[in-house]
Amino acid sequence: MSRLVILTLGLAVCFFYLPIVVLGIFSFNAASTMAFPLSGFTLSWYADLFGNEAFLGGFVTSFLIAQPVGLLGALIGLMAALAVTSPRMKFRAAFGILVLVPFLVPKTVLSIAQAMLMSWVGLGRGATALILAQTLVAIPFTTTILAAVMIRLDPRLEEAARDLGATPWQSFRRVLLPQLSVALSAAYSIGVILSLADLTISMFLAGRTQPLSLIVASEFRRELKPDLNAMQVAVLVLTALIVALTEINRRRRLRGRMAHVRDDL
Amino acid sequence: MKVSTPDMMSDPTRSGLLLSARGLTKNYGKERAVDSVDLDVPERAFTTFLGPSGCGKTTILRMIAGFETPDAGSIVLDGRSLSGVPPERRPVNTVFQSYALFPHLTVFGNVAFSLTLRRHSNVDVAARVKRALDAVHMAEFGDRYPHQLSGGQQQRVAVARAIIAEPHLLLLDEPLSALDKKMRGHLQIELKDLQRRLGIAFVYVTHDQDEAFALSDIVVIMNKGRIIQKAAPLTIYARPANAFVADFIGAATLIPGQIANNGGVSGSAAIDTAIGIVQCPAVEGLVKGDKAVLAIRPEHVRIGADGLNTTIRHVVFKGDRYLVEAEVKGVILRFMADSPPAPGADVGLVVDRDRAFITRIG
Amino acid sequence: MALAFHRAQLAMPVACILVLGCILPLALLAVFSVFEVDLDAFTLVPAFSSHSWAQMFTNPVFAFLVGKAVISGAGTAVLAALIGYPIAVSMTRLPLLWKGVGSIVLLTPLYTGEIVRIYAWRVVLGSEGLVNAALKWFGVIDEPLKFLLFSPFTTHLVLLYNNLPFMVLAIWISAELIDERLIEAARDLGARPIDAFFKVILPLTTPGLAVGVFTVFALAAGDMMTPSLLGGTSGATPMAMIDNLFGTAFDWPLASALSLSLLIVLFVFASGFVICLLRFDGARAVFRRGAR
Repeated sequence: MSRLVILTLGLAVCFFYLPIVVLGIFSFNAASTMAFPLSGFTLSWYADLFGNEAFLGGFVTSFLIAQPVGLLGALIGLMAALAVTSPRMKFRAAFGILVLVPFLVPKTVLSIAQAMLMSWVGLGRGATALILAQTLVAIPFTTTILAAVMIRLDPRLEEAARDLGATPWQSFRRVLLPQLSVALSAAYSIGVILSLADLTISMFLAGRTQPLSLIVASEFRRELKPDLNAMQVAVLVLTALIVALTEINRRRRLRGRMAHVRDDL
Repeated sequence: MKVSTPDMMSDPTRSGLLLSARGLTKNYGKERAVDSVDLDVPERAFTTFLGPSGCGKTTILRMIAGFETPDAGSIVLDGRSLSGVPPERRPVNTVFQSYALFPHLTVFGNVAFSLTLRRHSNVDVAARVKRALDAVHMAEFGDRYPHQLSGGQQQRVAVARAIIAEPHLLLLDEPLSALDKKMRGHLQIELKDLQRRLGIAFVYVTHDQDEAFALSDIVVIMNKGRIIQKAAPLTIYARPANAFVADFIGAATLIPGQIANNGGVSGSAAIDTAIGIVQCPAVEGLVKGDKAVLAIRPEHVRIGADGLNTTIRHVVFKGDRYLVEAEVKGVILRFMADSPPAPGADVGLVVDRDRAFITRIG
Repeated sequence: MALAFHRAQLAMPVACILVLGCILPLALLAVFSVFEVDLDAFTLVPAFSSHSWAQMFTNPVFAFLVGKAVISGAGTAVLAALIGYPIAVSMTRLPLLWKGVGSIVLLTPLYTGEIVRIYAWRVVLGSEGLVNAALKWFGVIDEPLKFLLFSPFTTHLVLLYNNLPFMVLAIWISAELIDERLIEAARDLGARPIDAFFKVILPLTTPGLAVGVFTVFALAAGDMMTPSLLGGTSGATPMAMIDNLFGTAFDWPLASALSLSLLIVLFVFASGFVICLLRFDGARAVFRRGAR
C-alpha cells in the first residue's frame, strides 16, 4: 500500500474521529467545564450517570423503542428484499424508488407531515408513533442490506430443495433463511442503531416519551457539562459494540463459507 | 533482497537476447510460485511458456510486465535493469486473458489509449490507430464499443491496443483460452503471422500444448515454479528432458527401468525394463545403474507378428482411428489402429527403437 | 401444490406500509396547503384557497430559505465529492481483510447519532475547545477564533462531516466493481496512477458519484438540526421555518406549502445533477455490463 493511500486514510480517520475522541477525553477529565488544558483523570462522570434518573430513564426508553424498530425493520426489509429480487417482479424500479423514499425525503419534512397526519386522524404522538416512523426510516437500509445479499445467493439451492420435495415455505425456511441469518442480524442492528441515533423524528413524534437524544438536546442550549459527555460516550460505545459484534459475526460466517481461492499462477 | 548482476546490464556480447532474468523467485506465503528461475528471451522470436495450472508461468509474465515484484532475482531488458521500474514505464505491453478492453471507450479510443497519454497530435494518432487496426483486420470497427464485439474481435482489438506503442516485447497471457476451438485456430494463425510481420518478440503463456507447438519458435516447459526444458517444439517432443515433459506433451507410455550401459554412442543408452532391454536414443548424462524412464509414443508402435506378445485391454474410438491399449508383462502400450482388434485378443507389437527415448525420472 | 403465491407479491404489503407511512403524509401536505386556517379557533378550514401558495411565490423570505437549502446541499455535495474521491479510491487499495474494517470505521461516526455529532463539534470548535486551544498553544493566535462556532463555517463543516461517509461509500462501492485488469491494462499501456484515475476510474465510477451526489444533496439540504444548533444566527433553514409555522404559528397550510416547495425544488435539482452525470459514457458503460 502506497504512502499516499496511508496518508489519505489516516487524515480521513483523524477527521472523522476527532470529535468523538475529544468527547471521550473530556468524559474522563476531572473538571466541570470542557476546556483545555486538561485536569486529572476521573471516572466520576460515568459513576454519576448511574445516579442520574433522567439519563437512565432516557436510556431505557431509547433501548425499548429501538428493539421493535430493529425487528420490524428487519422483517419489512426482508419482505421488500424478497420482492425486489424476485424475477417475477413487475415495476421493480418503481418499487425500488418507493423503498428509498423514506431515505430521500428530509426527515424534518417527513416527520412534520407524519405528525400532521397523526393529529388529523386523531392518533397522538408518543412511543407508537415514534416506533413506526423510525421503522419507516430504517426500511431503505434494511432492504438494501438484505437485497444485496440475496442477489448473490445461488438460486439453484432452492431449486434443489424443491426438486427434493420441499414446499415453498419449507424451502424458504430451511434453505433461504439460514443463508440470510447474518444479513438479518445486520438489518436488525441497523434498525436499532438508527433508532438510537435519531433526534429529528423524536423531536416531532415523541410526544411525552423521552428518548435519550431528546434529553440531551434539551440540555444542549445550556452550558455543556461533562456528564452529558459521559452520556454520549456511553451511547457511542454501546453503538460501536453492536456494530462490531455484527461485523465479527459476519466475518466468522464468511470465513467458514469461503473456499481457499487464489489466482492461477 | 533483489540481486542485480552489474555485468548483465551492459554486456554487449549478449546481442540477440532481448530479455534476461536470473534467479527469479516469487513466494506467496509459504508457496514458492517461481523458484529461482533463469531465462533468456531472444529478440524477434515467439517464445511460449507452457505448463499446468499453478506452474508459475503467469507469475513470471506479470513480473516482466511489472505487476508483481520478484522476491529475489533480476530482470534485464535491452540491457536495462527493470527492478524498481513501474509498469507504465516499461517498454513492455500485455494482452490479457480477459481482454480488459475499456468499456467506456470505443475501439478507436481503446487502441489510441497509450498514445493519448503522451499527447501526440491528432493526425498522428489517427494514422497509427488505423495501422494497428489494419494489422489485426479490424479497421472498420473503430466506432464500435467493446460490448458490441465478439470474443475473437475483442481479442484482436486488445492486440492492436498493445502493439500500437511499438513495445520491445509483447506479453500474451493465455489470450485465446476464452474462445471456442474454431476461433482459437483462426487467431493462432493470425497471431503467428502478426509476430513474423512485426518482428517483435512475443512471450506467450498457455497450458494448451497444441497451441504452444503451433505458435512457438521456442517452448519453455514449466512445472512447480521451475523451468524443466527450454527448446524448439520438435526437440521437446522427440527428446523430452524428463518424465513430466514426456507425459505432458502428447500421449506417451512411460516405462520405468534401469540403465544397463551407456552404449558407447553418446546420445543413446540401454535401459532394462519389464519388456526387456531396449537400446535407443537417450537424454545426456545417464550412467549405468541410474533409474530412468523409457518413453514410447503411440505413433511409434505398430502391429507386427515378430514383436512383443501383448493382450488387448481397451479400445477407444477417436473419430479417425482407434486408440488401443495393450498389456504385456504389466506394462500398458498404446498405439493407433485403423480397425479395432477385439479386447482380450493377443497381438504382436513392434516398437520403433529409433524413435523411443530414454529420459530422466524428474 | 404450488400456490399462486410468489415472492413478488410481498411487495404489496410493503408498498402499502410505505404509502401509508410516507406518501400519504406527503399527500396530506398537498391537501393542507390549499386549506385555510382559522386562527381564533385553531382549526383548519377545508377550502380550496391558493392563499398559502401565493405567499410562497410572493414573499421573498421563502425563496431565500429554499435557495439557501439548495446551495447548502449543492455545496456540501461538491465538497464531499472532491474529498470523497481520494478516500474512496484509497479504500479500494486496502488489502481484503482491511476492507471490512474500513467500512466499519467509515460508518461508525454515522451511527453515533445526530445529537452526539453536533455536541462533539461544539466541544471541538468552542472558544475553549480543541482547535482554539491547540492554536493558542502553538502560538498561532492569541484570542480564540470566534468564527469556528455558531457560524456558516460551522454549519458547512459539520454538514460535510455528517454526509461525507455516504459519498465515500457510494463511490467506493462503484470503484470496487471496476475490474482490476482494466487498471492494470491502463498502466501497462503507459498510464501513471493519476492518468489511470482520470481515464479509467473516474469515468467508470460515475454511477457511484451520481448516487453520492443525490444522497448528500438531499441529506444536507434537508438537515435542520445541524444549522439550527450550530449555525447561530446564520442557521435559519426552511425546515426551522416549517417547524415554526407548524407548531407555534399554527399555519399548517403555509407550512405544508413550504414543505412541498422545498421537496419539489430539492428533487428537481438533485435529479438534474444526476441526469447530467449519467449522460457520460462511463456511466453508460457500467450500466451496460449490468449488475455483478
